Amino acid sequence: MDRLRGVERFLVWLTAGSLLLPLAACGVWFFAGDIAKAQSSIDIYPAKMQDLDIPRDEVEMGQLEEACCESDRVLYYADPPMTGEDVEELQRGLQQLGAYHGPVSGRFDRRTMEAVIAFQRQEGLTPDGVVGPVTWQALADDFPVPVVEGSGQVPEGQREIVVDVARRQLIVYIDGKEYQRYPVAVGLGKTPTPIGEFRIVQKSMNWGGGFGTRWLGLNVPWGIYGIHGTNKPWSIGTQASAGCIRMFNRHVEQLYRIIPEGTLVRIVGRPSDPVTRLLKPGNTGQDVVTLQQALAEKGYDVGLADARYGEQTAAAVKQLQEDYGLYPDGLGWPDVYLLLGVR
Amino acid sequence: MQGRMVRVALAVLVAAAVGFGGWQLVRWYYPLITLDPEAEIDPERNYTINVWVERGRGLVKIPALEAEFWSQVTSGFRSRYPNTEIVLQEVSAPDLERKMEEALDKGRPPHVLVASSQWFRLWSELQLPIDRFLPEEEREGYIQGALQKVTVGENLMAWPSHIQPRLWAASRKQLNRLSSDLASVLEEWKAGTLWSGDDFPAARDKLLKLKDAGEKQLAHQFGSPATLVDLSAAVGGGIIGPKGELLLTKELLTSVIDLWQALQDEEVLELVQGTLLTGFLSGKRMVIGPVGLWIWTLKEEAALRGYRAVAIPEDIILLPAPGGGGENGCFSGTTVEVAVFRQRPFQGPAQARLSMEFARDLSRKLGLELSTTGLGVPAYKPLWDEWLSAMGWGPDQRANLEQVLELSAGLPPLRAKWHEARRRLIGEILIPGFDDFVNGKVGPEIAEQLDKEIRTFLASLQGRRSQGK
Repeated sequence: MDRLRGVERFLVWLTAGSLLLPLAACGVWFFAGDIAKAQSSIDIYPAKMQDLDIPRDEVEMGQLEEACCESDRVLYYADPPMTGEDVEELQRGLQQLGAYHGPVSGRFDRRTMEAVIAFQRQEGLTPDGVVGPVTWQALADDFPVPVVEGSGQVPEGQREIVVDVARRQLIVYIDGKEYQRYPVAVGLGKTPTPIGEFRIVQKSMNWGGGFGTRWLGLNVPWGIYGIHGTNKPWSIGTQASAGCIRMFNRHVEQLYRIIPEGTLVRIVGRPSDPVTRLLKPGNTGQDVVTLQQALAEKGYDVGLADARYGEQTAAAVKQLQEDYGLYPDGLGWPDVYLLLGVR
Repeated sequence: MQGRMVRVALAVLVAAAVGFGGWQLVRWYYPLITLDPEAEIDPERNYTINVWVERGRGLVKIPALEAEFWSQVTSGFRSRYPNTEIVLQEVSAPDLERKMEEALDKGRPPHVLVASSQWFRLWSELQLPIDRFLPEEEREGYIQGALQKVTVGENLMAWPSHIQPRLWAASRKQLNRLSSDLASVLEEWKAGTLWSGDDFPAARDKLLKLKDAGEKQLAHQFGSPATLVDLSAAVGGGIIGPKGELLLTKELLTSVIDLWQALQDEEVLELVQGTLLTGFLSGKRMVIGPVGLWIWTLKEEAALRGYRAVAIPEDIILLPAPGGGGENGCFSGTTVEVAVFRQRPFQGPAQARLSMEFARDLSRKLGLELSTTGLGVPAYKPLWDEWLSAMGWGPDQRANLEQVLELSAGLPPLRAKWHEARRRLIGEILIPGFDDFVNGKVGPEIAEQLDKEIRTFLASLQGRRSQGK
C-alpha cells in the first residue's frame, strides 16, 4: 500500500514538474534581459574582489555600464520586424557564408528570413526561419578559422596579455617575449572595451552561445568583462561586442590552456576617458585609468592602471602634490589634473 | 737618575705626540695644499673615478644610468683622458646616508657624488673645495645664490648644477589693470624691496591696499607653511647669526603672524586648496604662490584642460618668494650639486684633478639636462642660451628669471655647526609650528610658543658647546 502511495506521489511530482519546467524556462527567457542587467550590478567574483580589497563605488560613479553579455535573443520574422545589432551580426554572418546578398540593415526582414531558411535547409536543420542557438552554432561551424601557428612546447615563464583594441589583436607574451598573436573582436563604439591593466580572475568552460567554449574573466571594477569564444566568428577583427574580447573558439581554447588565473592583461589602443569629476579614493572608472596613466608617465608609482583609485593611486597623487608644493591630500583636484596634463 | 729617566720619557712622549699631531696635520692639509688644476696626469697610469649618483627624487629627474646622457658625459671625458675609467653607481636616497657613512669609515667614499643639496653639507668637511678649479672670472657665470648654497666657511665645497627655486607668479594682464599706486606695490615685490626687514611693518599696509583691486587677489597654497618660513627668515635677517645668536625675536615672529592674519582677515589673501593654478590660469587670481618654474611649462596642459585666459609663459611674471632680497633672502627649493670627496690615503693631486674636472663637466652638463624639463634652471649661466632656446623662452623670460634668481640669493652662509642648527630649527620647529597655524590647529599665539621652542633649542646647543669646553 505504502509502495503504491509512493509511486502515486512520484507520478504527481513528475506531472507537476513536466508542466512547471517549460513555464520556468519561459520565465527565464522572458526575464532574461532583466537578469542580465541585475548581474551587471552584482559581483560575480566576490571572493576574488575581497582578496584584492577593491572599493566599490559604482553608484556614485553614475556610469555603471552594461555587463559584457552576449545577446542570444531568438530572432525571427515578426511584425514589426526585429531590429538590432544581433540582426546585423546575423546578416553579416550569412553574407560572409554567401547565403545572404542584401544590405546589413539590422532589420530582420523577409529577405533575411529567406536567407536563414535557405541556410537551415542546406545544413539539414528545421527550415523555420527562426534563429536560435542551433542556427547560430551552425553558422559558426561553417566559418573558416584562421590557423595560428602553435610553437609546440609552451615555454615556462611569466605570462602577460596585451589586447590592442585599435589593431584588434591579442598578443601573449612569455617573459616579455611575444609568444602568440590572435585576432579578436572588441567592443562597439558605444560599449567600448575597457582600457587599463586588469587581471584574469576567473576561468570557466562551455558557457555556450555567444560566449563560446571558454571564458577568462577580468577584474574590471564595473560590469562583467572577459576574454571568450564566440558563435559569431565572422565578427572577429571588428568592433562587435558589448566590451568583451571575443576570440575564435579554437584560439580561446589555446589561450585557456596557457594562461593561468592572475595573469596581467593590458588593454591598450585607444585613449581612456577624460577626467571630469573630482576623483578620490574609492572611485572606479575609465577616468581613473586616465589619471593613473598620467601619473605613471610622470614617474609616479601607481602599480597597475586598474581603474581603481586605491591607496597606491592616492599615495602617488600625494607625492605629486608634495613635489609641486600643493597640499598633499591625495585627491584629484583640478590643479592635479592640470599638472598631469590629463584631458 | 730616576728624575732624568722620567724627563727623557716625557720628552719622548711629547715628541711622539707632536710628531703624530704633525703627521695628522700634514695628512689633512696635504690634499688641500697639493690640489692643483695643473697637476700632471701620468699618461702611463690608469685612473678610476668612482661616481655615485643619487637616484632622482621628486621633481629632480636625474637620468638613469642606462640613458645616453651618461655615455655622452663619460665618453666626452675619456676622449680627453683616455687612461681614465669612470665607474657610475646609482644609490637610492634612503640608502645614501648609510652607504656613505660605511664608505667614509673605510676611507673610500666615491670620488664624485651627485646629489641634492640636503646631503652635501652633511659631509662637507670630507670634501675637497672647488675654489682653485673655479677662477674668479668663471664664478661670475654662476647664479650667485647657487654659489652661496655651496659655500661653507670661506670655501665653495661643491659644483652647483641645477636649481628649482620657490617662486610666486603674477598675471601680467591683471597687473596691467592696476592703478599706478597699486602697481607700485607689485613692482616693489618684484624688485625685492617690499619685504626687507627694516620696513617690514610697512609691507603689511602696502599689501592691504591691494584690496582696492578686488578681494582675494593674492592666493596661497592651502596648508603650506613655506611662505611663513620665508617671511620669518626675511624679517629676522637670517634666523641665526654667524655666531649662533638668535636673529628671529618674538616680536619679529609676531609681526609675521600678524601680517599673515591681517591679509586673510582683510580678504586680500586667500588660502586655496586644489584650484590655485587653475584659478590663476583662468584669470581669476592676480598673484599666486608658492609655485615653481614649472608654471611656465604648463602651456599644453592648460590648453588641454581649456584654460586659455593667461598666455603661457608670456602673461606670467615670476616674483621672488616673499622675503627674497639679497643677503637676507630666502632662496629655497631644490638644488643639485656635484661634490668631490677626499680619499684615505690621499690618492695624489692627479687623481684629485681628474675627479674635480669630471665633477665640473658633469655638473654643467647635468644642469642643462635637468633644466630642459623646465622644472629648474642651470646654475651655470653660460648654458642659458642653449637652455632657453630649447625651452622656447625669449628675452623677457630671461630677464625675469635673472632678476628673481638674483633676489633669491639664499640665507647667508654660516659655519657648518650653525648651518646645521639653522636647518634643524627650520625643519623641526618653524615648519611644524607654522604648519599647525596655517592649518588652523593653533592661533596667533603660535608666535610665543615658537619663540620658546627656538630659545630652548638654541640654549641646548649653547649648553652642549660650553660643556664641550
